[in-house]
Amino acid sequence: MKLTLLAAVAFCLFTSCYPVKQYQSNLVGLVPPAPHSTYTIPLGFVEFDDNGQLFSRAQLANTVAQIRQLRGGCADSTVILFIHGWKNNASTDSNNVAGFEQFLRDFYADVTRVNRQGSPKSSCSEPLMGIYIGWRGARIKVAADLSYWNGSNAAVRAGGLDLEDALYQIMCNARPTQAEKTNLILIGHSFGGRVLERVMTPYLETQILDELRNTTYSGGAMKFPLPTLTVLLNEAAPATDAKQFLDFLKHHNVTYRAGDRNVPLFLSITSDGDWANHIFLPIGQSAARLQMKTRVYCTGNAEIDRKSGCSGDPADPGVITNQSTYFTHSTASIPALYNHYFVKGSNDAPQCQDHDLQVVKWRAVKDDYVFCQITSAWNQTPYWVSSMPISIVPDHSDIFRPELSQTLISFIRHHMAETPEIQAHDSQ
Amino acid sequence: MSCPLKYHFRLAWLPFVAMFSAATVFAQNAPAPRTIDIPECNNYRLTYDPNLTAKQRACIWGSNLLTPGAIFGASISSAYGLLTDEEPGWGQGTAGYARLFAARYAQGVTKATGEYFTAWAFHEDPRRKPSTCIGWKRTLCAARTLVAEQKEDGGYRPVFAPVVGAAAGGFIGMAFYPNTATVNESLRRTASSLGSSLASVELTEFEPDILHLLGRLFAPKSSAQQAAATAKEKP
Repeated sequence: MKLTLLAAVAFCLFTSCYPVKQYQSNLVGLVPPAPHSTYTIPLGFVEFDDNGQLFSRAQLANTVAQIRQLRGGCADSTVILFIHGWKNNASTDSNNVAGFEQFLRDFYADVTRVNRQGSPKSSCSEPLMGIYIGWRGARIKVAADLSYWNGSNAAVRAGGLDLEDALYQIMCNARPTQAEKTNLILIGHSFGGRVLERVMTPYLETQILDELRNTTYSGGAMKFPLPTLTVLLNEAAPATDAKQFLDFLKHHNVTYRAGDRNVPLFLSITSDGDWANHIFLPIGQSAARLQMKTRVYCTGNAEIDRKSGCSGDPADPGVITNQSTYFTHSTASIPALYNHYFVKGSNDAPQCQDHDLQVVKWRAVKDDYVFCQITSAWNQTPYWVSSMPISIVPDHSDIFRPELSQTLISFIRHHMAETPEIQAHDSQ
Repeated sequence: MSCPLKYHFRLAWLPFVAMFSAATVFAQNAPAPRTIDIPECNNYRLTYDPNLTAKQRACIWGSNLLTPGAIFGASISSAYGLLTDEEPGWGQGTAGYARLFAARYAQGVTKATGEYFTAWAFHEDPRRKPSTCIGWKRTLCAARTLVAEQKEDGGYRPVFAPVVGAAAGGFIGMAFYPNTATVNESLRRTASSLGSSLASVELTEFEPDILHLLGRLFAPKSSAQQAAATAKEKP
């Protein structure tokens, strides 16, 4: 009896695994038009296996060729790259593929102000394309929640050298300089945010350090390919990754500005209703903590520090005195790291609190919003961190909504009014 | 030894034929752009497609038959039935629990099937969506979805599926419960089933708010301003 039960469980587990395979062809596909519309949107897939290795170079080459074609026909075109999260992959059965298709349609309609006949007003024949980065986020069909730790490790592997190569090629072709009118938006959702962060932060660090080391650099705008906007949406990653990058940005006084306005290198936003990040991730990471040790930060008070047995620099910010806080929470779940916040209008027009600066103002579907900068925040870097109202994104997974599309468009318009410039200088 | 002019004209069409043939062959080889079609029963489409096809309705019904919620609900109510000795003829222990669980689960399957067929017959939408009401009215608006649904013009029309499904689940018990196979008991089961449907729609309505409050319990408490203050205090 016990043997039969064991065999049944084993059979169930083995047959319920998602295969390691390339789901989409090497050719760039087309998103079917919305009802009563005629336009189609090119959508390229670039897929990676469970070790972060590209399935096919041709998939990447065809996607890059499509970007060149898009830019050739339309100077102010937009490329949206999406990295899916946990329990998803590049299969058309995946919720995220279907959702991303709909998001592209919404974005297209918003960005081109589609007229009543369903054809775009824009002079470009193809003003928008999507790129879907696939990795093995979906692992088992039965009891999928138990694959949290496997999925988290797979996200780290997916953010490897091949993806860095792919993203670099995409950035170089879509937006070789920051003066380009072409928009490139990178979105990483859930574990996909972790994948994106694992690739983009070393890239940015290397480029900034390289420019700083260059003797010809005299403090002006640095010149290397950058996306218009990098969004970590409901990112499911321990804040230990982000904390090191925040320290780097702070230490090297990195600023990212368009004219007299600050713009984000990263926009890390998490929904107030994101139970996966607010509840599930702390539990999952607490279990993961059994495999390693975190340390207590010093406070600068000799008596307390002697008792805690800490070593190293004092905690910065001082309110987080144990590394485990970063390890068991995502960046956008730690209010101490926030430097921005959303205000939703109710009956009156939304307004920022006293002394805070209004960054962007927009209307999404039926509500008015403003996005405000906390002028007295600890985090004054271009790594923007904020929570997000449930009226824009209600929970962890339901992200492909017109409210989000219109929010991102307003950020891009704010961002692209003038050429953004990244600058840095080392602290003396 | 040059070719006669007549011969030149005879061969003149050959390059055109060659070009046409080549173009035909290459056109066949050139890949046509493929549309990335999403299967009808993709969960995203099941949630957001404005109008459901027969296949999509069947998929929703199928997915309602075996859910963690259905198994959990049947497990808990069977345990309660065992504690109150609801069916003495089925006995106590594992065997009694198994029979109660099977009966409860069969009730759930019948309820889902009743809802499916009624919704299909009356063209009702079987999906539960959060209301657009605000404040305390959300409680009433969520409850209203059990008896009415909003039309495209903003008005409301009655829906029968939740009540018919609950009644089907309640009365099917007459077929297998030895001790409670009465009309009164069936009505009680129907009311209990409607109560669980009500709890489910209220949970759907307030889920983001509840999770937001729960999430705040796990979040570190210090604000951005407090963090800034400690940074300034550093030596």
